[in-house]
Amino acid sequence: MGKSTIVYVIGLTLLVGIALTNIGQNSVKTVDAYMGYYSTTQVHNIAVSGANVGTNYLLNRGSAPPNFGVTFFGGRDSISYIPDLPQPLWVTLRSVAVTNMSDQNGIQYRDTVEGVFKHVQFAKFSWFTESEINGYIDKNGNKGPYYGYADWKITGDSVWGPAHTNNHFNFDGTPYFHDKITGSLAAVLGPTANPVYNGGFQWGIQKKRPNTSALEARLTAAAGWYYDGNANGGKDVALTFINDNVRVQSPPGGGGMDTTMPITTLAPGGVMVVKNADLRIKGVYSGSLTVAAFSGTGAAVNKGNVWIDGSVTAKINPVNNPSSPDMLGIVAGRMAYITQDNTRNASSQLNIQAAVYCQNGELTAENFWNIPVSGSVNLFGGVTQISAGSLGVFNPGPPLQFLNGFSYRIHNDARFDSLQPPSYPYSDSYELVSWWED
Amino acid sequence: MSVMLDIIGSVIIAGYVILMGLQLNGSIMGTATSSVTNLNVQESMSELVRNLEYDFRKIGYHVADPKMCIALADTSHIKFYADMDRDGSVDSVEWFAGAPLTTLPNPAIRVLYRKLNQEDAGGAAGLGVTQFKLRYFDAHGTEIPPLSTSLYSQIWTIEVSLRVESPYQVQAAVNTENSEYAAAYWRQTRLASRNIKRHG
Repeated sequence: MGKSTIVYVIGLTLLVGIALTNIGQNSVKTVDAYMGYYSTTQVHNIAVSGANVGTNYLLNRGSAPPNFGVTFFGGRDSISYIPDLPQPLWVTLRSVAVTNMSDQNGIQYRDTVEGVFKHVQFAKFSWFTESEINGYIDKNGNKGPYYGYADWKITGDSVWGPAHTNNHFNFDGTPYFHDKITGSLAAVLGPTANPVYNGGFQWGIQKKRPNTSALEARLTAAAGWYYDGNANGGKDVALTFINDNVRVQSPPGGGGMDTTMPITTLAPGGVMVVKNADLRIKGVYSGSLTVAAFSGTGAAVNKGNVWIDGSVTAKINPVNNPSSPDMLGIVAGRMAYITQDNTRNASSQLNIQAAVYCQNGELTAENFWNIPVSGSVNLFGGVTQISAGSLGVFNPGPPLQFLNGFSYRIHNDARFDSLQPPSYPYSDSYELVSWWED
Repeated sequence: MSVMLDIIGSVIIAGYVILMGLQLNGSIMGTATSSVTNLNVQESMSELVRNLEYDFRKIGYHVADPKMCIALADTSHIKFYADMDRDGSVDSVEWFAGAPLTTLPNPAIRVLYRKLNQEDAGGAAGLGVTQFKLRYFDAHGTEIPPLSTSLYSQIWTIEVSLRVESPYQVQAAVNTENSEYAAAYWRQTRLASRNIKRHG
């Protein structure tokens, strides 16, 4: 009996031993599975955190900062900036993290996060302001009657394409934003405000514009045609686009230089810059072009305006042909005016197919509060300006009643998401293009 | 007489020891099975989560218009676009749960499918998914109802819940009378791809 009991005990001991060994191994595997997930999550978090730090260093700088490394959370992260990839004005941020822990094969856990950034390109915005107030100043430097008034976007207003302000928007009712809207400050909401953000919104975003001298220097360096008012008796100049050709008149009304030539002959590269004078434009253009006007000193201090004397449209219409090679950038160092024309009426249409940029002014209509009801301005592209230019005066009603000037329709040109006219202004700020996490 | 008593006594003791051994063996086997099953559940969960996170982090990668990232947003079915292999072409990816399987003792188990482009959807019942639930939120944190096509462009973050269970019941701890399915649960409350949020 005693022997058999010993056999039983030994058998049970073996049985328990084997079972406990298996259970122990399973426990180890369980911990191993958990540790594997924990370690990969940890190294991923290190890589993402490093990439976030690197992104914040980059966003508000004009150029990529130096590479750096940080040690935290049980690992080390190396952040490097690879400029000009995949194209000029772009930079790739690469964050490579390594943990201090290794897997069962002795291999350290690693992870990589990559973000591609580019300078904010203003052509893509259908609406961009430094602040949402009216800033009308006439050609002599006098302020308009609505100068300083807040611009409110209300029911019936719609913006197609990205919109941004470096201040805050003012909303009441149900304005519609088809694409993402951003601002430095949260929008001010009126009592009935319920704006529709179809593409989402984000506040706390600043997009710096270049200073005037840097902008002028970039465009002047790229100019294929450069006109200096001081060298031409202080006379302004007019460009009338006639498909592949352009008529150049100085002064604009005639009685001086008047010549017509291919656009490519006048401005190889497509950039036309006027200094110390105003520029007047209209017509049907061909190719990828940028026209710019800048003020000067003395008698030219209020120059640098672009006057839109009539419709400015592409030879191949981008509205119904997104592959059109024709695009225009209009850059005004001061204001961009739609020239007063009292022959317009409520059914008139003025078409502008361009990206408009006003460095120290806004896109507006000359004497908009004092001209007859003039129909509609259809801007296919967008406008970037220092203040919120108005084109007309209306009684919001209901019913809505136009009193003076133009109604305003802006639609973004999808081509400007990735392309822009030659040497068109871009921001010192970067924005995210794509973000890759393993 | 005393010999008989010894024999009877030893038989009783031996029987008691054998019964104890059998009981202990059953308990150990149950615990071992439970341990293995829990391990399987946990490994299935961690593998699924890795794959889910890998895919979801890429939503919108190389998609020109971030508003067009998501093509379908249902409670247990999502379809989105991303350049998954970084070859410059945008792929479509779907994750969805199938109907509960009837061939396993656990009636809640279903197959979690992943479908890439036009390939056949792939999934495995053995992973033991019993719940795959998705919720969608806009930038305000307001929930977007499933299948609200017109609101897909406003999706900002996604909440993903995943529950994995064993196909068979196993004993709970050492109590052999009380058995249940081994289970693991994971929830990512605000999973979002940076590509969705990129600036306009």
